Amino acid sequence: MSGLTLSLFLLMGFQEVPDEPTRTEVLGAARQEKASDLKPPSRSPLERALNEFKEKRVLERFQAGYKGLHPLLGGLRTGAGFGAGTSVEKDGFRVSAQVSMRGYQKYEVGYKLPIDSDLFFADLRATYRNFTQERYFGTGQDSREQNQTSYRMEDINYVGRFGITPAKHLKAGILSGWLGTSVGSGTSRFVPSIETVFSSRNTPALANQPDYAEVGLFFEADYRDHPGNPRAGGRYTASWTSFRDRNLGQYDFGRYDIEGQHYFPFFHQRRVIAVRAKTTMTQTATGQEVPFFMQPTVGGSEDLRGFDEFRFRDRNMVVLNAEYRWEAFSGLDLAAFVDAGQVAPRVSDFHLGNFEKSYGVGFRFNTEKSVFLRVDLGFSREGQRLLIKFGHVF
Amino acid sequence: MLPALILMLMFGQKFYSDDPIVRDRDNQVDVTEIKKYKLNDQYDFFKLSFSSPGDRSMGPAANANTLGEVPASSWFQNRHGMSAMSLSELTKGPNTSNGPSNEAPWVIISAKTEGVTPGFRILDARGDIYFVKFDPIENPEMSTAAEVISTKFFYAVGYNVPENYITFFKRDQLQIDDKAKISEEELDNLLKRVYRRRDGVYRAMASKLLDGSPVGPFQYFGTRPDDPNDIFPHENRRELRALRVFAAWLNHDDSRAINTLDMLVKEDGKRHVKHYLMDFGSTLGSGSTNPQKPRAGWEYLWDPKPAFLRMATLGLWDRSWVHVKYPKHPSIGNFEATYFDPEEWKPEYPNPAFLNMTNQDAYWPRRSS
Repeated sequence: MSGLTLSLFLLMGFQEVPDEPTRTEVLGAARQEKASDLKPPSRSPLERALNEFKEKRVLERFQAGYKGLHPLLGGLRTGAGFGAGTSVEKDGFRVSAQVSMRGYQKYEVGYKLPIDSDLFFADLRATYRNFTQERYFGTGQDSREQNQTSYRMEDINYVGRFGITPAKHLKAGILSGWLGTSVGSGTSRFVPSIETVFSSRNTPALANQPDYAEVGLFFEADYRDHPGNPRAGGRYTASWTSFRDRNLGQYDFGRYDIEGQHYFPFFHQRRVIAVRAKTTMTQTATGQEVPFFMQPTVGGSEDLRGFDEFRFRDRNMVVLNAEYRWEAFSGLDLAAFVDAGQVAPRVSDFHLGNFEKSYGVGFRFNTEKSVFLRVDLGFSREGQRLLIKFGHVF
Repeated sequence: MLPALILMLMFGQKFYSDDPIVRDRDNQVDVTEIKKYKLNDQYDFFKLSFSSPGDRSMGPAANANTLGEVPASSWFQNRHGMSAMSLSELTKGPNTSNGPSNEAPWVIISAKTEGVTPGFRILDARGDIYFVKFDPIENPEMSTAAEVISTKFFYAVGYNVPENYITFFKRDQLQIDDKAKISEEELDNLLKRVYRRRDGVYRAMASKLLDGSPVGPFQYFGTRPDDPNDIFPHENRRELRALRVFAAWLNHDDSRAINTLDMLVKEDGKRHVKHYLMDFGSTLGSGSTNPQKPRAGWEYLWDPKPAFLRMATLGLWDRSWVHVKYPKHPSIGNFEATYFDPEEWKPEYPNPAFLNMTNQDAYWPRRSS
């Protein structure tokens, strides 16, 4: 120890006392003392439960299903109430069954043909649907909210598709199938059934429902980064389907669906301006009608969020949406949105001044690749709607 | 010596005849009753994001010696800071070989086929076990390089780290053990999800199994109640507090308990716990499974102030990190130095030891080097 150091020690009152233990001995004594009172690490009940959940792979096993049966939660149909079901996949087949609190049912068998090429795809599908309380307010944009009714829609559809994927993001193909339709009284306890308010005179195909042969073309370009929670890119689709009435001869029509979504990110995708335009147009020969239950609709959680589900319907519809989305923190995006939509009997009847408008704010609980819970509050001239959905709007 | 005395005056530390100690003999009490502890990472996130466990009095480091240095222990060995390591020593790091032996096929003894980070454990011709991890398909070399580079840095500083190697192999190098719960088809599917060179060679990071028995991670607060040698609250250990400096430097945003491991080892007939830092895949420009997120290092996953400010201002207010422009290098990821601010740096969620870091703790590495 240097003289300076020693002097400072003396100034500070330190003295090396021979009888005192060393630091090593002090630390050793502390360790011996702890050794006499060891306890296992404690875990709170919550941590134990979370560990059990993780170790028993509850989520993975739930998703993996039981003996090949996978659970399906929600996603049956907008307005169907909480739905659940199961699906099984094997050797290219996929079979699913879903029911909901409001009595909706959907059963489907699909088969993906084994084609040894990434360029082509082909699949077959048979779907039975029984939707017990679909909403109907009348046809046209001047339909009244007070006229809400419900109807049961039952259909069975057999369809085959063949297509080509010339590039990773592109898909195009043809389809052909058969569609049998049926309509009955709605089962809602809160609104009257359709036949008590509307007649077959102003509601096409209310009395009799056609069976269709259908053929169509479709095209899709999907450049979204994450389809479940897109922040960049876009998706553009177009399809044409011809429905030929095979039993009544009154309801032939062609339908064109065109949709474009695009996402403009900035600030490292922590901000996104998302826009969408979509239209469905139908075309009939003279004397032919489009059944009311196959007319395009506007309104509800997927497009015009300040209005009820399927609030407006007619032969043609157009919807415009714009959202500004911003990240509050990892796991939650907020959104401010405006929607505009209209329906019209003829395309020439679309008019800028006729758009129904809604606006609102939304909360999107998400992961990087998907939105698992969406809470939107939409406002319109018909009031406000709180929408809670398991999935993104677009 | 004089600065040490000034520090003593500041902290009032008692002086013993063997001070300053250069080794803390925290391997002297035989560990007999320790049990494997399983930490739940979600629980750890919520606990540390919404409460403040441990001692937050911000007092002086509890385990520094009277010179303010960190004595060697089961946590830390003074290496480059004590005497400069040669270039070959620095590049070699903790490694004792060249990695898995290619003299015979690797036998896969277990696999992780689910989740975002596929991998498997292999037994090589020398009988050594390695955990093999890969790069994301779109970012060749990124996470494997980041992990190996950072391992060597943390080793040079003095922390205990595993032997991590860059290794190359072809599909026919792999065999599956009968007891491994993975089929040939599942293995093929796993390998489809990782980067493969045009010549069919896979590049991977092989982490050698540590010596001893794993007894779970260590937390960055408190002490382990079943380890008699663990007497200094972790949030008050100087080397863990100052780890924040190195974690910031290397952008090790994943510096949390789940990426640590305590191993029960036997030396001189006595068992003691050795404490390791693990898993450096999320360092430098890498975020393990993707390029590092721009938020990483700037903000906790749950950081109430910026979150509420963004909500209230419709996102018009934000931190400067949203303006950072990263060069596009898939093998490097998101890495830059212009905006980097070590004092502002944060891991993914609060780390009690980092929060307790004082100026003296932060200065210690600089003083040692």
